[in-house]
Amino acid sequence: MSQRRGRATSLASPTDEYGPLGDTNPRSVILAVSAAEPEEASPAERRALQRRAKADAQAAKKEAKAVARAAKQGRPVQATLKALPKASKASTRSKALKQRRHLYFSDVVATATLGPRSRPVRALLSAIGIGIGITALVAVLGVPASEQATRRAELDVWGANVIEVLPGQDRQTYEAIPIPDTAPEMVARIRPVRAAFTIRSLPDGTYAYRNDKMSAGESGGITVLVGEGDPEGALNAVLAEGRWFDEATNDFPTVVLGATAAQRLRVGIGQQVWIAQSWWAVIGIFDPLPRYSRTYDSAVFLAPGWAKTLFSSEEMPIQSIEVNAVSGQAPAVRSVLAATVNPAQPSGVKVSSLSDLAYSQEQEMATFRRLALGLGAVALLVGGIGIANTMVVAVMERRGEIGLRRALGARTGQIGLQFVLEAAVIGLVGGLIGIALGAYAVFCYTAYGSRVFAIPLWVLPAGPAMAAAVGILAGLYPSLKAARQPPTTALRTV
Amino acid sequence: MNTTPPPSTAQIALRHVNKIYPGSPPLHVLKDVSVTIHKGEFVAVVGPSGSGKTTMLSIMGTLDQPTSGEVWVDGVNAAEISEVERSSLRSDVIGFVFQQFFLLPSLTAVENVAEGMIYQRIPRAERRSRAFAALEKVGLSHRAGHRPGELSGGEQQRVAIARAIAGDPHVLFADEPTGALDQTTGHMIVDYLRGIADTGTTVIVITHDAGLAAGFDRKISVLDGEIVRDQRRRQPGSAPSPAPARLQPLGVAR
Ligand SMILES: Nc1ncnc2c1ncn2[C@@H]1O[C@H](COP(=O)(O)OP(=O)(O)OP(=O)(O)O)[C@@H](O)[C@H]1O
Ligand SMILES: [Mg+2]
Repeated sequence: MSQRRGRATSLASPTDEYGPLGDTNPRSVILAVSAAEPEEASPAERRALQRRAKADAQAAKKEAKAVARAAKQGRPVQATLKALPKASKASTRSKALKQRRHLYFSDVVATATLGPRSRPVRALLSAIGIGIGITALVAVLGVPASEQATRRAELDVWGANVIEVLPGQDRQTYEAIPIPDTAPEMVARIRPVRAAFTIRSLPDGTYAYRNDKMSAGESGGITVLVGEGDPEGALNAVLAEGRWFDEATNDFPTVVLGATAAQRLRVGIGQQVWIAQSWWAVIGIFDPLPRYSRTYDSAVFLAPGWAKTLFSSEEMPIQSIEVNAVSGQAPAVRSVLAATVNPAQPSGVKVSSLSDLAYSQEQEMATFRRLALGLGAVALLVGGIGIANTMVVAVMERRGEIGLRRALGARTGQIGLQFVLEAAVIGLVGGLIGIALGAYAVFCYTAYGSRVFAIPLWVLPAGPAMAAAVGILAGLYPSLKAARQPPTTALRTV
Repeated sequence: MNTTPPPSTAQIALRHVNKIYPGSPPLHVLKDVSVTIHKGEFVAVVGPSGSGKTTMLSIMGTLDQPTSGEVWVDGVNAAEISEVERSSLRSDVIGFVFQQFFLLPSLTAVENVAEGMIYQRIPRAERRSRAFAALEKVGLSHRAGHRPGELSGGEQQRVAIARAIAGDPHVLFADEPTGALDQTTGHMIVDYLRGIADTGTTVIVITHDAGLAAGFDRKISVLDGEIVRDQRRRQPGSAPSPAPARLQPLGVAR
């Protein structure tokens, strides 16, 4: 491509002296130079140039025509071009100059990562701010997603058909309205009810002990209740050992323990516990219950038949009735439950289902979400400022590099792009850190409550993309500064 | 205004170039400078500090624009082309060497040299082989894998020279390339630059060092923004003669 000429002068020996061109007077030297050297193209050269330009214009016209013809006739354009006379060298060169050449993609990446690669600690530190923001974002989205996934998994196991009946309150006096004793029997009569489990509470101060020598203070958070009906059918409560009360055991002092209660009392099947001044035989122990009935893990259930011989029905009011409807019939059952439980005062009955529970949880989650989103936004903002700061410093430090690149032929846009992309890379790294940390936070949350781990899939690309966008925004001003730096001032710095 | 192109032998031509930095009072750094540097010449630009040498070189290399006057590079009027074209001109036609080397500290010598060609869109593999070849030319192929921090000042400047010539420029500008080096090393650098000029590349070097300037074919002295002396080395046994006469195309009369 270079049309070179050999050097004009060759030197014989290094002892040669310089001689002024014509005159010794400095002023006239210049005159001498201009007199001696052609300052302009000679007329012949000029004519040649004009001829060349004309020929080029004609060649270009011919080319355009030929291409158009080829396109019309469906001939390959490349072959058509080869057949045409070539434009002169000078014009191809000026064409080459006009062409806006782009860097190879690998070079775009290499130049954009040059800064972070040579100062990794700084890049990492400024990425952390963004990282925290994305962490918060992932947590905010991951925790509710995990909750939902957990609930869905539980619904599968536990049944979407569990309804809970609780004593209500009088609307005016706020007095508790007890559930009538007849309720369990009535509920069992509703046709689409598959199973029901009635839980009664006992007078305050009814505790369970390992033996009769322990004081009242050592009850260890164990609740004593009376359980009647079908806990397996209603709550999906599975017995780890032994059996639930049957006709034979119902009328004897027998108990079934929740998993936690059995652990705390350190008793097994066939052993006895001390409750209400008498010994009760353990005939069954539950597995840990599904999550929404986990409070019963620390309960001791007395055989209802024997309990009735010790307590009056006023002393053991109904605390709740767990109802499991036939699949798909839950709404129907729900609509008639209140009137069935208390025909005299249906408004005095509280009926709730798993979906209600989910709703209240969602409410709690919304508060948490707003808080975390706010935190995330602040972290992103601070992170963005951090990146902007890093980039401003980088642009100042690398003035020499910027000037050099301009001298090497970089366009202002290429310099700007290099720094914008560098900021984007820092943001991206922060985003990836954020995804990792956020996922870990959600994982810890789910591991703690034996929940199902879930993160919305779209977060995985969106998090880093958002971080990169913040990086770009933060890098815009410093990059513009870098691009606008005149190469001469950039190169003057030491 | 004179828009006739300079003769085809001219590599660089300045015509009535003025550079005025605005301010109070405005600084008239270049005063009506006209000079033609021909293809293949090995030129030293000398002059006291602040005389406008760097400014002149920047204008010749299209890094800076004159306040008035014409700049012709490789037959192209720098004012008549776009900034994009000027950038392409710098990447394809012009090479620069600076006093402070401006090597990228995190890249090895060969990577630094190859980096000089990315804006020419030369494929990676070719860049690398050309970078090695350029390092060989400055006698540094055995240090190709070392970073600038592991090289002496002279070696770093040789890497910078290799970077400037690897892209095969028509003209090489060097602004005090020996300024940060000792005298012996400085002489070695000038020898390398001469070697480059010997292959046909026009080489224009700013230097403070009068001793170094003795090795050039042509010496342009700048004082206070003007060219006060423009000398060619005497041919052995001949009177001082304007060498460019020999550069004119044969058969073209003036
Ligand atoms: N951007 C600028 N704005 C204002 N004045 C400038 C600018 N750049 C250079 N100058 C001035 O122009 C004059 C010439 O500067 P230049 O760098 O060309 O000198 P020089 O001959 O290269 O000097 P040195 O030998 O010290 O490098 C100096 O007085 C300098 O202060
Ligand atoms: Mg200077």
